[in-house]
Amino acid sequence: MDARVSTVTARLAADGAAPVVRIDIPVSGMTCAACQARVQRTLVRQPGVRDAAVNLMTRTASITYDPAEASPEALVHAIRSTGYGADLPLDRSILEEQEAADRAYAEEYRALARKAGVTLLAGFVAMIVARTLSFALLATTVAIMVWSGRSFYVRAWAAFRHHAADMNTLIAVGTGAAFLFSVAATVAPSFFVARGVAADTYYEAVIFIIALVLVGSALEARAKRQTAAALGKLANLQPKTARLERAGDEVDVPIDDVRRGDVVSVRPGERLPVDGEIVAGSSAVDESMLTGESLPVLRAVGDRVIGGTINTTGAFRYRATTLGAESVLARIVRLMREAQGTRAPVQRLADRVSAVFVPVVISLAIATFAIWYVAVDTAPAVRAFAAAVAVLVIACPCAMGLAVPTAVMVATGKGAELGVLIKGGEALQRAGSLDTVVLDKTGTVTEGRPTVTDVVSYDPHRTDVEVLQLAGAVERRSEHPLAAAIVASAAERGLTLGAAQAFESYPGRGATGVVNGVAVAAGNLRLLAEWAVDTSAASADVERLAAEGKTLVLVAADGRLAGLVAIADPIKAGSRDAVSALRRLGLDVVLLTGDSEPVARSVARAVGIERVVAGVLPEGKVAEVRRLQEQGRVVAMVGDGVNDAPALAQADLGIAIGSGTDVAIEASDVTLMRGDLRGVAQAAALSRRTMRTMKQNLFWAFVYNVVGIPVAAGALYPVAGILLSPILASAAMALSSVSVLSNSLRLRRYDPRAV
Amino acid sequence: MHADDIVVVIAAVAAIAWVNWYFFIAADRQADGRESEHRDGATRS
Repeated sequence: MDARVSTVTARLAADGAAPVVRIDIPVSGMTCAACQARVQRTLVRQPGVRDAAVNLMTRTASITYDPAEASPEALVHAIRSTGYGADLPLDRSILEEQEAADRAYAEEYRALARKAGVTLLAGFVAMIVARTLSFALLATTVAIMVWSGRSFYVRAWAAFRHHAADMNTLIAVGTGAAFLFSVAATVAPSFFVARGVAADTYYEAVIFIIALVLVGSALEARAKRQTAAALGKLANLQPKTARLERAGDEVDVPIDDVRRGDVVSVRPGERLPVDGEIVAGSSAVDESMLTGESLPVLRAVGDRVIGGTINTTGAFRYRATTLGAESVLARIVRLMREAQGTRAPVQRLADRVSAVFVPVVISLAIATFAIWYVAVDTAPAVRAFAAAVAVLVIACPCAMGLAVPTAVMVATGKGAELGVLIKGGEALQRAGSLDTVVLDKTGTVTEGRPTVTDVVSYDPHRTDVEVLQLAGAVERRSEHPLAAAIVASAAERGLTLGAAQAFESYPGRGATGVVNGVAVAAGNLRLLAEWAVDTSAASADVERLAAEGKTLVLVAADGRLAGLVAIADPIKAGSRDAVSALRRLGLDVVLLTGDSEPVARSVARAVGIERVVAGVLPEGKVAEVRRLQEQGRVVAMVGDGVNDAPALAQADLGIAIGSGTDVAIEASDVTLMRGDLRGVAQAAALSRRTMRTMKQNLFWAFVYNVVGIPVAAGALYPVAGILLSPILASAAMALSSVSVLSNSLRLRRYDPRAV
Repeated sequence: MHADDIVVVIAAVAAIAWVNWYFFIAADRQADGRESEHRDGATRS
């Protein structure tokens, strides 16, 4: 049962609080923000529940609870008592779960569309025959209410029993009142006529209200299905079988039978079944579906490859490393589902409004009835009644419930397409209000791999290559990253490096040794000064290269200067563009690094950053971020997610940059799947746009109700003679949901790469 | 104002009062009751 109790976060807090467990329970039958608020309120009140977040779009309740006080069964029971469906989560893989969710969405859409279609048809027929066949209409209306509209009444009743009211309450009260009035007019018309009131019926209004609400729900279901389909596409990237090498033969086995360490063989054009590490061969792999990187990336022996990506032209074999729920693909799908399930803080406003809204609307409807009844002389009951029903119907707060979640869902999906994983509504909202971006230098702005850029010889008897060879022979035994760069450069040039005798390392200065009988010293100026080597021949080059931000290794042979090797961390291709894109967005960009000032300055110059903070340790990075925050800035920290972790956590928005394989996706608010810094600007631009969409949605949903209710109540009647019939009110209500939805869906066409 | 107008107005005021009592006051009371039950339960266990 606890298979999907996802994070058994044994969070033993400092005060010795009990460990808590998180569970995601699927909830069915929720239709609007009020439903969601009710389930959430009920859950929070359960004993042992620390926190509960109910999501309308993904239909799950994420509950953090103390297992000593609450059980999954009790939580499911609590949800059911509110009138909604809930089941214990099944032990399914993330991909099966996604498929099941897709099927459920599709099924829901079909059912709603069918009911909406039939009900609409019945409504048109009812309109035509309205005044002639009232008993036949009565029967039809009962059938429609039971078949198409039953869910509204059942849920409204369940809510009522819990002293709660939601959108279903409004529909049930509105249609129920209209229906009862019509029944009375059908059964005893003489009673009305005797009192000078026409025995009008509202059957077609009842049918149309149900039909239009169903149309709105069907459109919502379709939109949800479409946004969920983006995730389904991701989940479906994984092939169903893998070709394994077993006892010298290649056999196709189902994906579930692949074990860690199995060797998988991949032919040109095939999709990789699992994550792994290449053991033979090489090929360009198209990883665009996961990273957004448009060009295929060369992968060779020792490189990691990701399941779901496409092998282009070469063939290779690789060893399976992570499988199933731990695979990169599964982690991304899970992360996205969780992200789409979270609520932006702005949502709380919508929740608070909906909870009070419904009782207030019912009160207004009653007042409307009374005022009309008193004010109108002819057929007061009929007109008062129509106005009251119109108020109930137009006030449905479903547009408000959709305003935020639809925008979050579309935006996170859009981000994923671009290789920018945004962890939910809160991260989106913060990314939208950034004003400062702090960039870590190494691995973020630069490649993070020091590379030899220049080799100079000062000894006429030695070539550049020989200088590199001498340095390489000594440095081969050193563990310093600069040494690794020299050795790698020598290897690239196909040089054989001799073995250094009497090796000695001088931390912070360099290393010495004897190579083929030559005493070699490789290190900085200080080391060579200690060895009394005259370095004046190199001084011009030293000055020039240092100004370019390069680190220098001087090489002396038998006490004389032989040459120098310059090493730099090359700047990533997209960094300059990224910085200018961030500036175009009006963001301040700060370069933060543990490196020395000249190195930092030269990198900053190259990419166009003005503010540089150099020479800071990891703790210093946290302090720097905090200092900026104290100035009132909203700070995003961009780092490679390992040594920058504390600063990422301190920042208002932590952005981890990485290949998407190694990076601890969990540690950051936003993860850039490509190593490309341009993703930061895209995330900021997308978030701003999303926030704007959310605000527009909330504004329109709110304005709609504020304007719609008085109009339905007849406020404009005395001045302009405008009166909404219940049928028009239900059409307007459906329209508001649809307009909010399509405004959110517009985000899908937005391209943040254009900034 | 006719007699039936007065009846309607009184009924409407009563209905509004009841709706607000039922959804706000009674709902809060019920919630408080449930919470204190839970608190008692927690202390007992």
